Amino acid sequence: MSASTATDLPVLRLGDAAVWQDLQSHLAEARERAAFARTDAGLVVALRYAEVDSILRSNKFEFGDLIAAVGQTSGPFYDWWHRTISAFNPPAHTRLRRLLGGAFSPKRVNQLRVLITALVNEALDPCLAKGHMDIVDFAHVLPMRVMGAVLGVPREEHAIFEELTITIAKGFHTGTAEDPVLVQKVFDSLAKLTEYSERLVAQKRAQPQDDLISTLLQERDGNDQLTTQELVDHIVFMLFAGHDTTRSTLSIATMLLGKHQDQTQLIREDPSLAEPAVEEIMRFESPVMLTTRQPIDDAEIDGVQLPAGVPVGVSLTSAARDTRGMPDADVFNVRRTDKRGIGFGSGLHFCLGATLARAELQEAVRAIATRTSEVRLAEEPRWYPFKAVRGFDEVRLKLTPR
Amino acid sequence: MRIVAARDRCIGAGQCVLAAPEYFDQSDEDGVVVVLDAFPEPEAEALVNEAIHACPANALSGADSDD
Repeated sequence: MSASTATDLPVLRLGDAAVWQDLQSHLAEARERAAFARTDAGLVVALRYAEVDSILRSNKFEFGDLIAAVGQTSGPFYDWWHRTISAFNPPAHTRLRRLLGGAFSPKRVNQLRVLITALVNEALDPCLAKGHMDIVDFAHVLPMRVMGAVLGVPREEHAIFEELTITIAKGFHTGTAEDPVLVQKVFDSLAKLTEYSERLVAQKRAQPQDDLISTLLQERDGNDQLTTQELVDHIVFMLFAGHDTTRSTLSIATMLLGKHQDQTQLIREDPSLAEPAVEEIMRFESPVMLTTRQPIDDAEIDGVQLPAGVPVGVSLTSAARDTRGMPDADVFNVRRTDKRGIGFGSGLHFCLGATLARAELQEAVRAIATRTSEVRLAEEPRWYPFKAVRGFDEVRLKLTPR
Repeated sequence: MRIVAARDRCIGAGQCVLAAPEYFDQSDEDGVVVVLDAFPEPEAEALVNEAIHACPANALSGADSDD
């Protein structure tokens, strides 16, 4: 096959808000034509499972600069992001992963499950009483409460955290770099959240409690441990990552439960299906539309030239629906046995908080299915456009309590 | 076959436990892989291979039993 240039590839018009409402069919169409597409902003994006998985696993590709890709190449937001685990390659990455990973060990997350279930039920109670769920009252409050409880942030301060993390997330959006007022707001929010995290670390150092920050303060790998700066940077990172992505994923989960009532009924009849159901939700509508990697040296995949140091997009949303190797990839089936999960990523940067996110999603799905006799969409929700992590700002469900 | 786990490469993602819980677990402390049974019966090899391929960090592999 002769080498092709990016200009021969199918075009994905991600700059067109309407495309996001019907993204899966646009992705499917491009994916049938080629393994890669080009966005209207010029980013080459891998679409098929095999290519996405191999790029994410390859040691010939490293962290792609997501922030530079949206036009920010300096400043405190850029600097912070480059100090987080996402930006590192081994061996620095391996060291951080070890030091941070213990906080999300299966044992710790299972200890948290009782607390998570209580928070899920607390958020669900008023929705059941009304017979109606607006995700603003559920998917939008739960992640903050869970992260708050995990990190040991008092409930009355959640609103501040929430606003700050939502603003910080905007730093990753297309278009932010062209808006100096918004850029400044991102910087200010980051500074405030950093200052707050410093205070939390000082508090937990003085009075250790049974929470994640206290655990991280004690975490050792041999003689090595996180520096205060690393700890603070990663608390900000976890607050942001644990909030924004989980909130989007929960909005997708509630939409799917309302839309696929037969599948929700299966979970209702057998609550243990909540675990595979979460894997299926993460597969069927994978929230991560785009993440980036860049080749260390010039590379070529399927005849597409990928120059060294130029970011390549990888679409988990697209890869998970690839019918190559999974002929019924377009069917939502919570009892699926041929799992091929890529929703939490692949390779060394596989989601650090996946164990916690899974527990939170599983308990939310289980509670919504088992505490109702019927869940249905009150109206077809609209995907928000332009964000690397997809989801809904609004999902309205009719609930019939059991 | 014999399951080989490179514990120094493991990132504690837990994908192997999800795919084949009879053969893999994670340490309670750091989430690093624990092989429960390194010698799966021939009929379980397909399942174990699925778990090996599911590892995002390529920390698992299969070797001949005699190696």
